[in-house]
Order: sequence, then C-alpha cells, then structure tokens
Amino acid sequence: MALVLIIITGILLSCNKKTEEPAAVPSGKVIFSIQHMVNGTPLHENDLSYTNEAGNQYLISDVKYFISDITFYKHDGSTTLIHQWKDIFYIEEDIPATKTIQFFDPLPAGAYDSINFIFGISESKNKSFMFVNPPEVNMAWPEVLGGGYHYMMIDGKWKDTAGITQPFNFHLGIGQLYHGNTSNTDSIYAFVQNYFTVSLPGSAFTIQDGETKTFNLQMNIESWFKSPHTFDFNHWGGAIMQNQNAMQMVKENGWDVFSISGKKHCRLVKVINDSKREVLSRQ
Amino acid sequence: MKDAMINITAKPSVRCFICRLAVLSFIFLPCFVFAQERRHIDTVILSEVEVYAKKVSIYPIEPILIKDFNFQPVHDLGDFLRQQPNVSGIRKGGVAIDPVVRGFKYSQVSVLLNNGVKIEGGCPNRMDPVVSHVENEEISKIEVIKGPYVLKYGPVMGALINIQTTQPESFTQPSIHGKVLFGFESNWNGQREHIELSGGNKDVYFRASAGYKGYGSYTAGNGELFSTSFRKSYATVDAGFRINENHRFMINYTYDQGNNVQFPALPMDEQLDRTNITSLNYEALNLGKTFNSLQVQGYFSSVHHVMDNFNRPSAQTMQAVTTVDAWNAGGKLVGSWKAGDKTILTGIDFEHIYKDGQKQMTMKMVMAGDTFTSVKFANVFNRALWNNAGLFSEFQSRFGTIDFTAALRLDYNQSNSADTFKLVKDGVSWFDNLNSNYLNFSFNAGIKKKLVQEFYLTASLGLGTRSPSILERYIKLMPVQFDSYDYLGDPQLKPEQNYQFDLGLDYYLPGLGSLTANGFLSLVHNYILGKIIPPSVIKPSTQGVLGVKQFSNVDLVWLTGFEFSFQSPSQKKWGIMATAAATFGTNPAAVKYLIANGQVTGEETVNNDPLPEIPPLEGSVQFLYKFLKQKLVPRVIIRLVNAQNRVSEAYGEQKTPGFVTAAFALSYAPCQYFSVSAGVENILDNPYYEHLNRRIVGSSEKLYEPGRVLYINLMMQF
Repeated sequence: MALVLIIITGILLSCNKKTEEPAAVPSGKVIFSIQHMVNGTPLHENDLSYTNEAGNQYLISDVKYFISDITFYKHDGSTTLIHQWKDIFYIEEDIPATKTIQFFDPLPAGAYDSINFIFGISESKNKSFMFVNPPEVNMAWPEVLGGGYHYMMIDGKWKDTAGITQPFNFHLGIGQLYHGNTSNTDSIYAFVQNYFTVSLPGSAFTIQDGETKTFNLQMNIESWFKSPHTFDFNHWGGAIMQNQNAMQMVKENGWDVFSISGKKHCRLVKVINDSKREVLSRQ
Repeated sequence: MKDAMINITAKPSVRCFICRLAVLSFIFLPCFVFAQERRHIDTVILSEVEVYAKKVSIYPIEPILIKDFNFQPVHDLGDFLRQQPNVSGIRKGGVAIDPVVRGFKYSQVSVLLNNGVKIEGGCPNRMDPVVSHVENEEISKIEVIKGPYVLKYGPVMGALINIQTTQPESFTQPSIHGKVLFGFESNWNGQREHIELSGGNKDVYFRASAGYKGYGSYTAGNGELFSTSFRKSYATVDAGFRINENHRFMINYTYDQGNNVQFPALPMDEQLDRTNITSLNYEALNLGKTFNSLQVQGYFSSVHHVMDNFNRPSAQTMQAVTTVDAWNAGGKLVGSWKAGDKTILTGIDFEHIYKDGQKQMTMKMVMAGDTFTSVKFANVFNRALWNNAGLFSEFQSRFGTIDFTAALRLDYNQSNSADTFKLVKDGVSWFDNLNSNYLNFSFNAGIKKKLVQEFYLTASLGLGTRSPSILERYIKLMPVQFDSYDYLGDPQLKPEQNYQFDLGLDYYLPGLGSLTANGFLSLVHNYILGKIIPPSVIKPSTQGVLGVKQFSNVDLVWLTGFEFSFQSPSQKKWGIMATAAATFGTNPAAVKYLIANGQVTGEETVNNDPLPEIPPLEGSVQFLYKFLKQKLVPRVIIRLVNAQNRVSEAYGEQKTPGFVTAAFALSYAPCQYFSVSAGVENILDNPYYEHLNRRIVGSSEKLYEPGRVLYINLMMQF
C-alpha cells in the first residue's frame, strides 16, 4: 500500500511546468524613453556653460521629478488612464532605469489624438509617507509646508551679479500662503496645489494589436526659465519652496517644457525558452 | 541554607540571584541529596485520556522527551524542533525560530501548551512565534502530530505541536526538591541559567522556577558576524491540589520576557516582549464505569510586544516603532465515556483572541539647514477580535487485530475589527467588509493493523479546517512573509481546508531495532498565499520592501512527502538512530509577474510551480555508545541536507545549496543528582544556511547558521 502513495507522489511531481500565455486582446504596449535637454542638446550635468533667458549662467547637478495620471485620448473620444499597475512615475537623470517607463497597462489598439499627464502629483494622491523607499522617499515635502512630495527638484548653481557661484534648489511642490511678508511656518494660512497638466503637442499616433510603441519624451530644461515669465535667479534667489509667487511662475512656465518625438515602432515578441523566462526583442 | 536564602532574596537582580543561588546550590545541595529521597505517591494521576496514545501511534506523531534536551545546547525551542524529521524552522535571528511541519507553517501549525493553553504572538513579523514564549527548561515533553488528526485541542489544519510543561507532582511524604542548570555556548558567548524548586505533600504540591538567557551575536562558518544577540528571562509558579483520590486542581502561572532581541533578517528588532500565561485545570478521573472522566480548563495569556528600527540604517531617514498587544483567552470542558474497550471523548471549547497595535513612523528631512520632522501613526491591528467555539468528539476502539480511532469537530468562527481603514478603488473592494463568520467541519479516521508479528500498517484520513488568522484578515502593511513585501490582510478570506491521507509501516526487527516509514498526501483547498497589489492601489509603508501583497485564497495546492526513521534497541550499549524526510509542495497555477527594467510589465501563469518555503530532503545519523553503565555516553551526529532546487518561480524564491554538518556530544551522569554534558556543534565550522532562513534585510544574502560552537551544560538536582 505504501507503493500507492509513492506512485501518487510520483505522478504529482512528474507534471511538467508550463507557462500559459495571457489571453490575447487587441492592444499594444507603450514605452516612454525620457531625455533631459538644454537648448536642444542632451543635458551635461555640472557644466557651467548654460545661460537662461534672464542671462544667468548656470549648471544643473540633479533633475528629479514625478509625472502621474498619464492619459491617452483616443480619436473616438474615449480615454485610457495609465493606472492598472502604477499611476505615479519617478524620473531622475542619474538613475537610467527611471528614464524608461514601460507601462503595465495594455493600450487598446486604435488611433489616438493626444497624450496628457500631470506634472507632479494631484492633491488627492500626494500623501505623506506614501513612499518609504529611495529614491522617491527623498522627494518628501515637509508636512509643515503642505506635506506629500516634491513635484520636482532641479538642483544646480548660478553665477550671481558679483560673479559668485551660488547654489540653487529649483524645487516645486505644494505652496504656502503666509500672513504678512514672512516665510515663518507659523504664519501659513493656506496651501496651494502647484501641480499642472501637460498636454503633449504633436502626440497623435496609431497603435496596432501587439505593437509596442516607444515615445521619446523630452524635458527641455531651459523652458522652465522662460515663456511666459523670465525667471531670474538674481531676483528670486536659490530657494523657492517657501515662495509661492516664484513657484507660480515656474508652474506657468511648465506648459511647454515637455515635447514628444521620435516614435519608434517595435513589436513585443514573447518567447518562452527552456527556463520559461520572457525575452523581449525588437523587430 | 536558610540564612543563605534570606541573603539571596535581598538582591534585586534576577540574574545575580540565579547565579548566586546556583553556586550556593552546588555547595549545599549535596547535604540534602542524601537526606531526602524522591518518593511520589503510588497512584499516578494520568492526564486526560489520550486517544492517540503513543502505544497505538495510528497517526504520525513525534514524541520528544525532556531527556533529549540535556545533552544539547538548546536555547530555543524552535531550533530544537528542527531536529525532528520533516520539522523545519524559519530563522530570522538568533532565537524564536518558527516551526514548519511538512511544509505547513504559521497558523497552519497549531501550537499549544498543556493540552489546550494557547498564546497569540504579538509581532506581525513573527518575532515571537508561540514556541518562543515557552522556554525549553520548562518543558517535560512535546508531541508533534503531523496532520489534522487530533481535534480535541482546537481546530488543527496542518499539524499540532503540543508542549507539556513540567507540572508539580504530589508526594507520599512532605518533600522538597530542586534543580539547577547552567549552560554556556562559545561563539556567541551565550549563557543560560535555570533554577527550580518543587515540593509538597500528598494533597498540596508546588513547583517554582526562574531562569535567564543572554546571548551575543554569532559568527557563521564564513567568519561573518550576524547581529543576533538576545536576552530572555522567565519565571513560573505552579500549584496543585488533590481534593481526593480522583480529583485534582492545578493553577499555573508563567512570565516570560524578551529584551533587545535582534533580527537581522527583519526590518526591526524586538525591544520588548512581555508574556503572561495563567491557566486553571480541574480533572476528575475514574468517576464510574461509563462516565469515566471530566476535565475543565481555563486560561488567559497576554503578550505585549514592542519593536523598532532604531539600530538600523533606515532609521536615519525614517524611524519606526510598532507596539502590539495580543490576548488569548479560552477554555474547554471534556468528558470521556467507556464501554468495554471503546472510549468516547466529547467536549466543547472556546477561544477568544484580541489584538491591537499601532505603528509610529517619524520622517526626518534636512532642507537648507533646517530639519523638518513628520510623524504618522498607523494601525497595524485595530481592536481585532477572533472568536472560535468548537464541539468535538473522538472515538477509539479495537476490532480484532485493528485499532480504530475517529474524530469529528465542528467550529463556529467569527471575526471583526474596529478598523476605519478601507480600500476600495475603481469598484474593486480590497479591504472593506470587516466582519466574517464561518462554520467549519473537520474529521479524521485512522486504523492500525498488525500484519504479522511486530509489523504494523497504519492508515489515516483527515480533513482539517482552519479559519484565517487575525493577521491574515486584518494586518496592514507589514512585511510578515519571506518575500520582502508589505502584506495587507483580507477580512473576507475563506478558511483553509486540508484533506490529508497518511500511510505508515512500523517494523521491529528483534535485536536490530525499529523501522518506521510514513508517507502523506495533502490536498489543500483555499490555500492562503500572498498576491501582489498594484502600487496604484496601495503603496508599501516599510522601507526596503518591494511592494504590497494581499493574502488571498488559492483554489488548490498539494503537498506530499515522507518520513523514515530507524532506531536501534535502547538496551544495547551501542546506538544508531537515522532519519530521512522530505516534503514537496505544488501550486498548480501560480501567478508570476513579468519584470523588465525593474518595472512590472505583465503577468503570466506558471503551472505546477513549487510552493515557496518548502524545506529540501534531509537526513541525519546519530551514533552513540554507552560506557560505565550508561553514565558516560559519547555521540556523533551527522546531518545531511540536500540542495533545494525546487523553488517557486512565481515568488522569485532562491535556490539553496546542500550542506553537511557534524556534531559531537559527551554526556556524563555519575549519579542521579549531577550530570554534565559538553560538545561541539558544527565541528567543521561550515558556512551554511537552511532553505527557510530569511534574507538579511536590504540584501539578497541569507542569514547563515552559527559556525562552530563549543558548549557545556551542568545540571544538578535533588
């Protein structure tokens, strides 16, 4: 009788492992490849060779920010919000993995008119302690200043009118309104949400079933300092996170900071090899 | 002696007290050794009727006696239990190893004291599994029942570990006895001290004990030092009253405390764990020809657990402190009837668990020279309740050459919580309706048939149903499993059902020894496993974790395996004991998430994926020889563990290499009053880790087992 058990055991253990393909749906996949540019060329960090519209000579040492609620607008009026897996995406110049976003959500096949996203994090989602791990946790925005997380941190230096190189923290997040002309946190009487929606110009596209489309999403850093407002470091100083007027200007400059180009087309091919691992290949 | 006692009690330090008393005891006790004789009353009052008595052994049982502790450096019960075939343990630090029996773990293994007393551990990360609340020095016997085959102690799904603590006994004449134990282990400079006094007369008797354990960090065989230090102290007071020949009453109280217990494989360390256990027992035996016995038991246990990450690098950006209070109270009423060789045992029991806990997180930010601090309080449990009422019956009889037992159990389980936390998104309810009620049914039946002389066949079949635990229902964002994910409970989880079949052969070869072989198959319906929740729904709250998983039911998984053991006759001077055991677990349809560039990009189903956290095939051989009329016994123990290559692909489980360890032990007992044992564990100083050992936090490296350890145990008793 012991043999019976051994045989049952053998049968159960002898089953071969197999992987099942998910059910086919008429959809494609989208990848964002993100680049940080200054005056049309890729950013070189710590290079004091850039000059903004106000004539400030500056360098950039860090670029970190969040984009969220990426939405695809279809030609037929329907929308697809990227949120099945992640809805908030952290991007940092020094972490290459954050500069390629491969969406979990499948995108229904068809023609799309445009792509929108929120720069930063919306008020309903920007909650303190929602990120506890680096690098996102390092974007925490002090509770006393409104809580949640920085939308953006661009750190660097500029050469002031005396020719002295000064540090700047070009940070955007929840703003504060103070009584009087002080920035004492005891005087805060209201908070201002400074996130904004970016509508990418020229982002119409068509995606086929099984197709993977890669978009080059560019942040043109010099645009933060111009149009419609000229941002002068010599006027605003190096820290703006407790200066709502400065952050309002930055927010309004953000409308044309992003552009999209260079759509690459590829097909996602799933190959199940001996070790049952997925291999992605481009065609 | 009297003067000495007065002097000692004036000292406040427990540790100092024990040390000094131990020394004094060694000096003075011989005076009493020859003056008194241990004489217990002739009538031995047995505990309640054991339907599964060892003699019958219809079900797979591993009985472990106190003598097994004496020649080993046992500082943790979970560690000791790993020596039993198909019993493994999850190591997260130097102590509090969490037992795994035939691949069943956590709440799938019911652990209780003295046939019914239960403890609810406070720590969501299981820094304090039930076995960690009881010290091995207090234990007289342990039974590990592998399967849902003993239903009279409460719901049992995968296995039952019944720990019998040393109880006071009555004496024919007024007597007093004592025991002093000192143990030391090199490598981590661990020492343990235990003192015990017992005495009384025929009608009133008592036992009191206390002890201390202090261990440092251990070094593995590769020279790596792991932060595993801990301190534990405990005390017990028991009193028994013999009302008349067949009636007795017992009251037990135990205090157990852990301090500064480090867990390198968990995100926090235990700052404090304080346990109180009180139980009352009444037994009436030999009441009549039909209605034979009555037992009434009531108990209350409480655990106060505090843990933090203050000694971790993560505390530089975010400090976290978690405090949990857990209570378990219950009782049972059991009666037994006899009719010829038939025995029926029937009873009711009740268990109530209360759990409440909070996590405080403090985030520090330094910006432009200013330090900003944000504090968040979050409920880990919010006044969570778990109630279980059971009705059970067991039947035992003999039909010719067949011993037969059967049992039934019906449980009503109800659970609720005061949580205000809700998680409903896009119409999907993840954590919402907090109340759940289940009516669970369990049963078993087993036979033992004598095939030929000294050759027995055993077979048993059982269904064990387990309602989800408080942790599985209500935990909120704590990394409570092996896979570095924060876990979220599901209040609407369904109970797990284990349909198990066991087949065994017992054969005694006269003059050579006994052979036992067991095989089993478990089909588990609604098996509880973690399933990833997208970060768009909820994000983790623990530093270093990968994301959030929620406990969910898997329709069906199966586990199968075997145990084999050989033991030479105990009357021989030489002795050999050999064991081998393995378990295989399979999930027919596991969900695997596809990751590219560090991002989840899709999912697929893996068929027949091995279940995670299943230990590999292993065996052990022990050789001994008894010199000087069994007073001097050297032993060599060799343990061989196979590599575990059968790992869960869906859960990203790592493979584990095999290893071999050797140990030597020498025990010497020149008389019944004194014994000494010494030896070496891991003689070859091998660097190794068990498959179930957790990873070091923040790395993919597993927590290694200790390297070479030299130890000595001294015990004196009178």
